[in-house]
Amino acid sequence: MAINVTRWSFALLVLLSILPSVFGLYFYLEGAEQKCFTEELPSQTIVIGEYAAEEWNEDTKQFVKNKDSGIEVVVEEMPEGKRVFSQKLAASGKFKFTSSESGTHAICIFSTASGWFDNSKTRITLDLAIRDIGDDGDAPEGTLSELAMRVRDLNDRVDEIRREQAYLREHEKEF
Amino acid sequence: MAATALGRLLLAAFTAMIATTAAILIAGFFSITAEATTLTYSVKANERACFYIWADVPFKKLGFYFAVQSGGSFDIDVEVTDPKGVQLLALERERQGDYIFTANNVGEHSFCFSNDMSTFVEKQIDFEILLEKGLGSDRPLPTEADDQPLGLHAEDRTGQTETSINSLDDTVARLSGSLYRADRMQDHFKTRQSRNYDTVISTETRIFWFSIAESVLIIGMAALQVFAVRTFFSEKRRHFPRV
Repeated sequence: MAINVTRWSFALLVLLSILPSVFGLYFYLEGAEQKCFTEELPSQTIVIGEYAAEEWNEDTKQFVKNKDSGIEVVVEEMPEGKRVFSQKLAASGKFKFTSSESGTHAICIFSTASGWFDNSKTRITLDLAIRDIGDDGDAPEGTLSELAMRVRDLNDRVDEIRREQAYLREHEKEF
Repeated sequence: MAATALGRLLLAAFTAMIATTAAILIAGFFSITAEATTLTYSVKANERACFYIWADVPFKKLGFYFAVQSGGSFDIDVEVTDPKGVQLLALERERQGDYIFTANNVGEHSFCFSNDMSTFVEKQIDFEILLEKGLGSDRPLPTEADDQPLGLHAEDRTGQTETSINSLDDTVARLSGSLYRADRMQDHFKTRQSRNYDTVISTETRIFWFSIAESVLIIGMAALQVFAVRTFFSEKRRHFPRV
């Protein structure tokens, strides 16, 4: 019985050590590699990205949160490649930018932890949320009942569908 | 050339129809209890891009939607692997897909897109990965500290009857399902629109080059004819028979 407990706690420890810090979609970056995501945004739209970056530590053979490392986020407007937003950020947190023009934007993320020849692996967990500039912010936690939160979530989804529709309409007009 | 374009359009429409039906059949499933991440990523030629999701509890449902928005013949190789290395899905040259898997094992599930078939064309892919939220599990993002378990019944009902709460619940659930279907429909339309746009652009390019080639050919033929006629009246008249 005692042996089982030790084994299970060891397994749990190993499991916890390799867990990503956030349960969401994540991907790996090697060295200074960057991954870009394209989003078609109408003008005056806020994009909030929530991310967490973990670095591979050779000594402990795990992904650890390193306070000194960080990521850089660069947003460019696609057809011209005009840089709209560029910011160096800490290892985890949120970034926010507003699109000034309607069009395809490329949101590129790369790790600043490594230099040119360094080949460290970084795990980045990312979640992008797109909101209209007129939306009010999230209510403080605990003030809404669960049902109200779900209705609010439905509202957000309807807004997203409408926004995408508006963008498609504009695209088709040009077409 | 026109036949291929028309054929492609028809095939795209047909695939879209089938995919829409499939999507509607499995729609509403993720209406309440899923966290979704939708991203658009450009896979460069000969690149293999992988995205991962961590399933913390076994037997959760994983939803996976992808559609190729632009590039070449709008197809991509897809591979989904579970933590033990078992291949859950392996597709070659697929245009779009909407799948649900049961994550039997805890751990890292990988969703890989492979663009080996292109030499220089990059493919833009819209994809969405959903992970069913377990009842009683916390919201995953650490900045939103949510201690309430996400059950299906409201915890605080102040002065409302049981029946009205349940019907509200049902209405919200139905709305959620309808919204999910509407969202999927829109994704299909968006994909179709980008394919049609691409077809039109390629037709335009082909017409342009065709007319240039045609002009060059006409001018070339005219020059050839002029040259041929000139040789009839050249100095070497003695080679021609005298009638």
